Amino acid sequence: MGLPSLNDVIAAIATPPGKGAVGIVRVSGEGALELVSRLWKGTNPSQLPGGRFTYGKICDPNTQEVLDEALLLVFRRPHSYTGQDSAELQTHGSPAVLRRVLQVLFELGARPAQPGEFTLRAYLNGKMDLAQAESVLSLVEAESEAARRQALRGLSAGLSQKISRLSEQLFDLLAHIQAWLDYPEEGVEPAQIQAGLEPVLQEINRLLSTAPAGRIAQKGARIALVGAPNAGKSSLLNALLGYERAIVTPIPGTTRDYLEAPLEIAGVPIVAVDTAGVRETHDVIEKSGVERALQIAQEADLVLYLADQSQPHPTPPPLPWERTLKVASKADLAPAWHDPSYLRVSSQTGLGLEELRQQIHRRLLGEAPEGELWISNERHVEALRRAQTQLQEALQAPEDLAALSIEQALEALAEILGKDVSEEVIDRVFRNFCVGK
Amino acid sequence: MGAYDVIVVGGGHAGIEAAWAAARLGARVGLVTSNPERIGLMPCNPAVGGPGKSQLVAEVEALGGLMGKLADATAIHTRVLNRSKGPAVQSLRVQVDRDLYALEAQRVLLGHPQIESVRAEVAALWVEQGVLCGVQTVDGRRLPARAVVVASGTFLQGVVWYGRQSRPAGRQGEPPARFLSESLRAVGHRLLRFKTGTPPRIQADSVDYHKLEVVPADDPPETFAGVPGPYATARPTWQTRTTATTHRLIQENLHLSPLYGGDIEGIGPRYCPSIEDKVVRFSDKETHLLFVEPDGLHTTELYLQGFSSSLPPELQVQMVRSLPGFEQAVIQRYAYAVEYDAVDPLELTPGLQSRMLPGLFTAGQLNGTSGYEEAAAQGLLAGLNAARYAMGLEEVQLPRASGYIGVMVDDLVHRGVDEPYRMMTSRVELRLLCRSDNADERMVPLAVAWGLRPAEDLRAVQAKYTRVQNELNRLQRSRIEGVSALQYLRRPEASYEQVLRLIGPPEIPLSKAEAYQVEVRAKYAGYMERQAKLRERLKELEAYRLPVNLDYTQVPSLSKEAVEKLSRVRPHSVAEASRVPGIRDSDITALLVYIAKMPVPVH
Repeated sequence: MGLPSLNDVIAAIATPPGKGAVGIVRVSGEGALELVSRLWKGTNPSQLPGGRFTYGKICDPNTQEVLDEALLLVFRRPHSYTGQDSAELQTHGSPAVLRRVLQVLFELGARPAQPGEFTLRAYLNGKMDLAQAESVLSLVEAESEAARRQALRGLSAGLSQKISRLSEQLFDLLAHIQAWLDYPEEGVEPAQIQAGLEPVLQEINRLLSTAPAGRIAQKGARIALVGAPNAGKSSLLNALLGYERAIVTPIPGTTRDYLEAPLEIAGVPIVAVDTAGVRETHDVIEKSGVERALQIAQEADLVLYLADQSQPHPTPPPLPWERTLKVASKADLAPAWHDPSYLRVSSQTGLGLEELRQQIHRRLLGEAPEGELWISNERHVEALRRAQTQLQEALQAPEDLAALSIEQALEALAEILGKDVSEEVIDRVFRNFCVGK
Repeated sequence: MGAYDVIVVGGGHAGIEAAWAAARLGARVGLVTSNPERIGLMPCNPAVGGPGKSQLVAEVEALGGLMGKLADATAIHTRVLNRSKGPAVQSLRVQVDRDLYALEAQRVLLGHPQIESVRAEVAALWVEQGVLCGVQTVDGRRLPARAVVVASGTFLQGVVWYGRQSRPAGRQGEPPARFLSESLRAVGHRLLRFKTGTPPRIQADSVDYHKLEVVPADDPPETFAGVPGPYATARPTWQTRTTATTHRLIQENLHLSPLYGGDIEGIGPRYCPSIEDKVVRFSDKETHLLFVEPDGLHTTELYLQGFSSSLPPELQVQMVRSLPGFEQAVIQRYAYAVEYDAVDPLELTPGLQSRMLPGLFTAGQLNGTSGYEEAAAQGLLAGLNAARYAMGLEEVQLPRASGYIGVMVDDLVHRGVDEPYRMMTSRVELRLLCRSDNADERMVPLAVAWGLRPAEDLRAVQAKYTRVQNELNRLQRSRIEGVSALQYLRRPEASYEQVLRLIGPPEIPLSKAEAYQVEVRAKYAGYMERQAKLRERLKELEAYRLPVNLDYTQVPSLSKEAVEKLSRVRPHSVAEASRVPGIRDSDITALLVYIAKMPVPVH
């Protein structure tokens, strides 16, 4: 097993999965506040006394992109739940934002908390009395059991085989390097480290690139329907649903807030969000609806931008265009403009609907063929990322250090598969190489 | 004959270091061997060191042990291996004169006023009412002692095989220890059955050296302890190769081997394969490299490394004569396989004391390891703790993070062995921090605290590393081509020598060893920092101590497998528990919660 640390910085989403009013990310450990300060725009949390909260922005330190506005609660040891320096980031409840925040924390050096780990730390640091001990233990146990089951679900047989094959390749390479280092005189050829690592790295990159699709396949996606008032968003939603969910009237601005409707496209659970029409307005309620619509688009996995092709082309609103499908609606009416980048759809006749479903599926899950391996479990993603970083380093390093990096990468993969690294390598040195006198 | 503080049974490499370490602490030591003229004998090849093993020798040396000095004094050929492959794996191998080595070991050891040589075969441990009182000899003597170190090598119930013929023997030509196994079993130890082998020895003047490839000795010679011996560059070694004829002879006669014939039940080491094994398992290889090592300066014998065999003697002659240069060769001693009893090291403490009988220590091949260096390192630790036991002091140990000895002992007593254990660099997670070149920094403070070395040695080591740190600070402050000299030195092509040419030497120029430290520490700083972090994590769980008498069945939520394994292994800390095979994260959590619940002991 991997050696757990009880002081390093761990992070996890503390609120239940799904969309809520507020989402909380909890961070705890030695240096937690310094780590959080690197993604925080506002009062520096490492300067704040414990028990304070402050308002500010969460930024990706690499891109300077603002992820969300948030409240930050600072706790100083021993006055925190875990008894360690801790922080809580309270964001708007969007799962997408919470995931990004967590991702950035991992990139800054935090590690995903094990099931029950916050509670375990709290207990070990004397934050709970004797009577609570037993219940803590059963809680931890139950959580690990749930996590194990979840991990098993996340680790499909296909993925497990794939990662096994990658570790096999790495074990062979590492055994080769070690045979060469431990038996310098016995004619072992030097290992071709670069040639050995590149295919493994490529495969890890490919697996990681399926992570968003894997998450969507498992947990579903949110699609936002955005467009000018009366562009036909609610009609399209109803057409995709097959029944009337949204109130459709020819009066622009009927959908003042937003509507959510669950549907399924090719087996993928999807929540479609019908937003208020986007236009310049002075109506206070409508205005807040518009802002809300753009916010929803920012957080959605995919945006459908609708423009009525029977009317003059509207000025497009600010949307995340890299994950936006452009739809020319009301294709049954005479066109006022042509743009091949738009898909022509008519909710009345059903023209283009099937093509739209296919494009939605493709945009969400990529070109991956049916049954392709998806990696969805956050812990697996994080472990693969660590393996990736180590292997990239191994490419640059001389043999003895490359061996150490490959060992670390194998440790990361072993967390997914549960194998003992050191014995396995020695085993292979003697299985694969004729060394020893 | 008075009472001893410590009795050491066996005069091999474990016994030598055990007796020496105990004597350094002031203990009265009785070194019991059936033949004192054979103390320090090298039954396998006459070489010390190599990858993984030279690091052990360096640590033994830093702990005040003898092996490094003995090898240096009697060297006839030295070679640095992996010189260009990085400081963590660089290693020294020294060929020695077999006879000189034994003589030097006897001279140093028996010259110590606290060590007395006793000629006797030990028949049994002398135990009265569960208390260890000493040992009993075959001829009926009782030798009283407070502590006993058994370092009997492969002699316990030893059986030697030549082809499918076997006879009881400890080594070639020597009787086995017939009775001690029973004694160990009687106190509750489980014994394992292991096997190993040796190659044939060849008459030196029957070989045509022109047909062999010469491996010259390094000149100037390198040393383990600093002082090269008078003959350190005196001899080359040679290489030859197996031929198609060799392979055919083996393939056609496999049924004559006790291993392939199924007579030997002992488990052989993977890293010491017989030539039969190599030919069978790697049948795609047309030829195997063999190493021809002289036994000494005036020897008449050559050691044919890589040619271990348990095939019958008459076949060995044909096999040897199929090798280039060996067409007329005469075998002086045939290759043989040996089977022997070993103690299951899971039943030992990290100080190598028996958990069955306080005061009993075991070391070396008896504990399931292979190799002189592995034996010596254990002998030192066992002798040290035996002397401490005799003085009423607490047992000490070398934690895994401290170096190669720590890793080996941790592996032995917490993971156990299913074949003879050999040290390898890949077993050591922190190998970049635990190098031969900084063994002094890691071990001398411990050696001084334990009484294995005088206090002035610590001052010398501290002064050395202060000079190294000062020089690193100076490099940090100096600038070359717009960067600090330290950063400049990190460039792959840069060297400390070159940096000195650019910024000038420090006030007091550094010694060669110190300069090497500066270069290594500058170049590998990033990796070392990362390993230091890993070391901190290792230490963290070391702090969670487990009582040795903990009743694991009372720990809630511990898996059945964990209860069974931990009850057997008896780890001292949660860190040790985490390395026991089969222990899961949830078991560790259960242990942490349970021990946090226990009342804090009053100190």
